[in-house]
Amino acid sequence: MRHLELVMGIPMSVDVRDVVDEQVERAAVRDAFDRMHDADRRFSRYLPDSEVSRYDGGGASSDLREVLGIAERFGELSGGAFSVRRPDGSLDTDGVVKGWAAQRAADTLTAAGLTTFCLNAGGDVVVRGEPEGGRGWNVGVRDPSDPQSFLTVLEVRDGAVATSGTYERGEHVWDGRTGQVATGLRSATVVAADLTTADVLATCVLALGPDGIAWASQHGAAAVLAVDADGELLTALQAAPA
Amino acid sequence: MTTPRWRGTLIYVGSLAAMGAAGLTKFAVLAPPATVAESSTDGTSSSTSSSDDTESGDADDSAAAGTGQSGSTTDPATSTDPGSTTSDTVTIVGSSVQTRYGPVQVSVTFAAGQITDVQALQVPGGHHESVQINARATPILAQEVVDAQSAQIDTVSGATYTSEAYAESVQSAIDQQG
Amino acid sequence: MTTTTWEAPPLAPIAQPRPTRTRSGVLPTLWLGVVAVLLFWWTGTPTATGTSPGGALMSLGELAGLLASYLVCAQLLLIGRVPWFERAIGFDRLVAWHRSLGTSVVLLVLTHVALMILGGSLLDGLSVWSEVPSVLATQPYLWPGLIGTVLFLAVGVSSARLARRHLSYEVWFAVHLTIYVGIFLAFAHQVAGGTHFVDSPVARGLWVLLYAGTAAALLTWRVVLPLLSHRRYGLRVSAVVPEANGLASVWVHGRGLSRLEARGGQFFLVRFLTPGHRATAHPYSLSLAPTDEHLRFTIGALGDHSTAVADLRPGTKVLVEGPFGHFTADRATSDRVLLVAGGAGIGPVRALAEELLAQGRQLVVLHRARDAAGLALAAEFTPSPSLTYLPVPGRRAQLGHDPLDPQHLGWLVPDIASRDVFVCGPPAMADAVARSARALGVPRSAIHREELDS
Repeated sequence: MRHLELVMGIPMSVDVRDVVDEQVERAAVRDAFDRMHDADRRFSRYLPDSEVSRYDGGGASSDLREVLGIAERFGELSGGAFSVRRPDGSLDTDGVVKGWAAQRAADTLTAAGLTTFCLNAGGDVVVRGEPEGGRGWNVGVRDPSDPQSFLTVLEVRDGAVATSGTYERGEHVWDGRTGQVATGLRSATVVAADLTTADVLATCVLALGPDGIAWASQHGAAAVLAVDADGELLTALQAAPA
Repeated sequence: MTTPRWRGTLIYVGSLAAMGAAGLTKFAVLAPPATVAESSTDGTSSSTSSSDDTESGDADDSAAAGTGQSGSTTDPATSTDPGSTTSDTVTIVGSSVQTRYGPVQVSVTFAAGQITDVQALQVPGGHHESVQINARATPILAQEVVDAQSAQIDTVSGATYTSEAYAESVQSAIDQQG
Repeated sequence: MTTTTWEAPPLAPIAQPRPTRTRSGVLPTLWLGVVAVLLFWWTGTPTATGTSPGGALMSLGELAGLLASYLVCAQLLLIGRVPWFERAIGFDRLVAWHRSLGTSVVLLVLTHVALMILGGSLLDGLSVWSEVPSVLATQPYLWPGLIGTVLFLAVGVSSARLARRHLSYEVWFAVHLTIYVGIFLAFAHQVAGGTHFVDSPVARGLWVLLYAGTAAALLTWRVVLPLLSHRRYGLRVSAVVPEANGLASVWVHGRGLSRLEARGGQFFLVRFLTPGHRATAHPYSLSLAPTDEHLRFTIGALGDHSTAVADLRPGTKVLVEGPFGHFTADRATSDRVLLVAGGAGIGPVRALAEELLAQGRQLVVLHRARDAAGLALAAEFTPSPSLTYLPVPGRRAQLGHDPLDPQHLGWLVPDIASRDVFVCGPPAMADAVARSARALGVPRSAIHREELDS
């Protein structure tokens, strides 16, 4: 079954290929989307009474602590390039929450017993299993300069692909070290075991610029694919697991 | 003062007639009522959550696909039978997908089972750009990369908003074709 | 003195009557262009666009926009003083076509906007009212389009017959000039966002070529060549001579003017380079067969600009474009000619008479005026065996009859049926003379008219 729903104003879809009871599938998918909606409500910068908007550095829920923890870890690893503090000082957890929430939704599906599915959260993808015997999920990577063509197609099983770019939503990634908008790369795509990591790493690579490609492959990226400001394709690849 | 009084208006009316004739000739071919009804129904579906792929949705889609095929095949001689699709050129209209910017709907042309062309039918803002699925990059990631030209794309990374909806609509066309 | 004729220029003297309105070739050429635009649209539009009603409407809206652009370029070319058009069609007829197409263009622009909004609202699932702010917010290139539309509307409205009656020439002309901004903005929104141009360099190239070609023609014939001829001829006002009631003759001095190849009965677009006149060019007829050194224009108290020529100081530089017009001696098909002049029409008739006499033709000049004081240039018509001058002053109410009705015209000019009839004056007078002449047996092809805008 396939299901599409807007979460955080972004179309998110899930494609389940398991052959199990449809009632079970539907319940699991509903549950997964509910968790994403829940994360949206709690972490939205745009809702004045969201937890993020009210957070003043004091007590936080376990989820927010987890999100802030991830942010802190990658902030340190990237030498400060990754930051959930906007240049104006306000808290912006979007760089973590989208991937983290989608990964949690995928985990919900797995917990419900589903083994073959693809969850696409506005261009960030978690896949499990094989849609056809012997073949992984074919994930097209969008060309940042042309929404209708692909840089390449990645075949992925049990992994995640996240792409961060300056295209669709403008230059929304900044370098936490300088507070300047990151412009060295047009887009960065990271393949990793889970989407939380892939998403944060993709944002890090965009913030770090071309240097971030090698860096990301040392910090959990199975593959990195980036397009620089001149339209050149840059790649880094971890040895394929045996 | 001897500019003929209604000449400008008459030229306008003539132009309108020419436009109408051109539009009818161009579009009447591909506007069977069923397809139009399908797209308009989908277009008005809720913008907060549009669910597709319920059983009934699938039935609607395939019904529409049948009409779409007979109306829009580029090779009518060989593809009048909606069932025999693998060796023919067939154009299938995907379902309309709602995005925050408006509905997105595409038609996908298959030749011998491969996607050869994707045309945008509805795009928010009225851009009707053709979608070319072409691989610019060579296979660089060893086992993880497949040829974009021959691949069935399951999903798209980096495609947010409307691009995602493109993929959705393309996917629904693929499902109908399948 | 905007002038217009009904008759096409006869190429050779032909005795038998011919249809009144010979084909100018404008209409077939226009339709050819329309067909070309249709083909352009056809090849750039995927058939699948029509699957949704909104898509089909927007595509037709684009077609309306393309047609409007094409007709705008055609309009500009018509008034571009392109010599080939001037010779084949004639200035007056070109201006008439320019006006007609103006109506078509404004209506097509409105149709374009309406179809784009309607189709877009269907596609986006928005109401027609919320569609407009929505697309303006997401597609910034539509702003130039919007401003361009407003300018097109302003120019269209200011050029409507009703508005022209209430607007001074200068105001109308100033509004009219802004159309170039409007056209540029419209062009900008096409190449920036037009479906037919964004993806196709070939289509964009063709479109740029259409506009660039039009602009080049305008620059060549409306700017560069007039300035060059200004340098060559060095035209300046040499004298302003009051004639009769409200009429004045402006003498313009220059050098080598025979190269203009102007003939009596023709007119120039004249621009006096002095404050109050600089901004506008007016069509003025020659009132004397031109010499190598002098042109004379006799200007009536018509319009709001003409009256001010009495203030012109000798030495004022003059820019002219032309000559234009087919109200010339070579149209006469007979050895005997009747010239009828009314008001300021006496100017071109005076110049025409001079040339007709030089060709050895026998003339009758019938000069209508409201009163004797209005018989300008009367002294220049010296009676001779080959020239009969018939001044007919007085309003119809005073005379108790219309001297131009068939009965009275027949008395005044008994052999009218064997004459060519040239008439120059207000449209109503020209109509009356043409009607009477027809009733008296003058073939249509022998009636030549030049109307003065009032």
